[in-house]
Amino acid sequence: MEYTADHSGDALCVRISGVLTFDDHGRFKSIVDLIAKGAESQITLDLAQTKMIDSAGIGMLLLANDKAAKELKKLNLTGVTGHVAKVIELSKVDQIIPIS
Amino acid sequence: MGQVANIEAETSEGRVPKSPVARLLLGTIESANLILTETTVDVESQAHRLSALFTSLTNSSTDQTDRLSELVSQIASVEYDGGQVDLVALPRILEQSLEEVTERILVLSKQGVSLIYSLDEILEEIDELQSCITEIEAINRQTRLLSLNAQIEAGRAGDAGAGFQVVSTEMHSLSRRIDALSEKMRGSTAIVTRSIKDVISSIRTEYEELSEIGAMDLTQQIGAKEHLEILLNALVERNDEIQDVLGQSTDASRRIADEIREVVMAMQFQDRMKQRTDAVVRAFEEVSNFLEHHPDLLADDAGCDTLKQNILDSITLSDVRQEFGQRFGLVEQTSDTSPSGGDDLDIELF
Repeated sequence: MEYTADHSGDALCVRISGVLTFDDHGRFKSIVDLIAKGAESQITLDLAQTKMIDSAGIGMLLLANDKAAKELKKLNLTGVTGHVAKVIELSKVDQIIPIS
Repeated sequence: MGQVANIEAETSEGRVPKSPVARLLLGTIESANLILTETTVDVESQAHRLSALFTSLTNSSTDQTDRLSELVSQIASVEYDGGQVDLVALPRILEQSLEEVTERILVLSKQGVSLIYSLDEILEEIDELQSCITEIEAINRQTRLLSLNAQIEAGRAGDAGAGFQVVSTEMHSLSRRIDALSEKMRGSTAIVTRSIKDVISSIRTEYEELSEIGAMDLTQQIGAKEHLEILLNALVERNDEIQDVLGQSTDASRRIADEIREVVMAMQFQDRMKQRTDAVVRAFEEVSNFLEHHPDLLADDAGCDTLKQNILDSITLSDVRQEFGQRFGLVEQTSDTSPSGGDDLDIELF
């Protein structure tokens, strides 16, 4: 997994590319820290370049959402397609995290 | 009258001699009567047989309709645990089970990652703790060096430094205890660090094993869900088709039963035919009796009128009686002349 972060005013957009699996939990911790410690209150995780995600990846998204909620921030997902969309639909993550 | 006058002698005991015409008529009427009676019996027998067959057919058709209706109600569900489970709902139940399993996997995944994050933080704190221990050990080394220097200086001061000698010795002792304590702390933190790394490694191994069986990347669940949806649609479609076919079959069976009932009803013509034939037979019997016992009155108007009246009296079926009455020139006064009217037309249903 690779990621880039764009800060724009009150919005933080994190673009995640590659695969998001258990092995990426260390790098994803950096994203969680960005969400928790950054000043932005509108967080977007862009998954347009994410080719594959496993249940640990979904777990990390849910963790990021929990962390944002704890800091009174709003998190949403975007660019959900292909395998990622199927997993998100199956796991009903779309009922927990808004998808734009 | 001439024929009557030429009556031949009869050999029958006690009987009135009959003319050839009377014998001819008598033979004809008796033969016709016999044939009519036999025909009536035959028709009645066959009609009853047909009626019984049709009634049996109706019952079979009704049973078939009931069985089809039962089949329609049974085919869509099975009994389970004291209740009825709709077969169409079965894939939905499986899908719900799959969703529950997926949900639990996600909860475990989230908790697993969360646990690892917490353990990582603990490891960072342990690293900090180990840095502190290193710092304490460095300070302690300096303290021990100071106490050693103090002991040297106290020795050089002689008796005046005796008290200071005791203090520096205690400081040296304390320094050794701090060394022992820091060594113990370092050992404990090493054990905790190793344990935490073992836990993380164990979690990683669990993930890898689950990944190998396809549980973690959810590929199997996605495939199973898609197959279940296809299966569900196929089942619903097939169920609708079966219900439709069975419904049509039930309707057809019901129509057959209704039509057979109509056939049975229509066969009641036999009863009416029997009553009319019986009326004719009785009329023939009157003529036969007359010819048998009063052949001498055949040429007598009064005798013929008596015969006509006897014939009419023997007929209970009003329309038949009216027919005979009109032919005899005796107009029958009847309030109901329709073939199916009158109390004497009370047809017994099969």
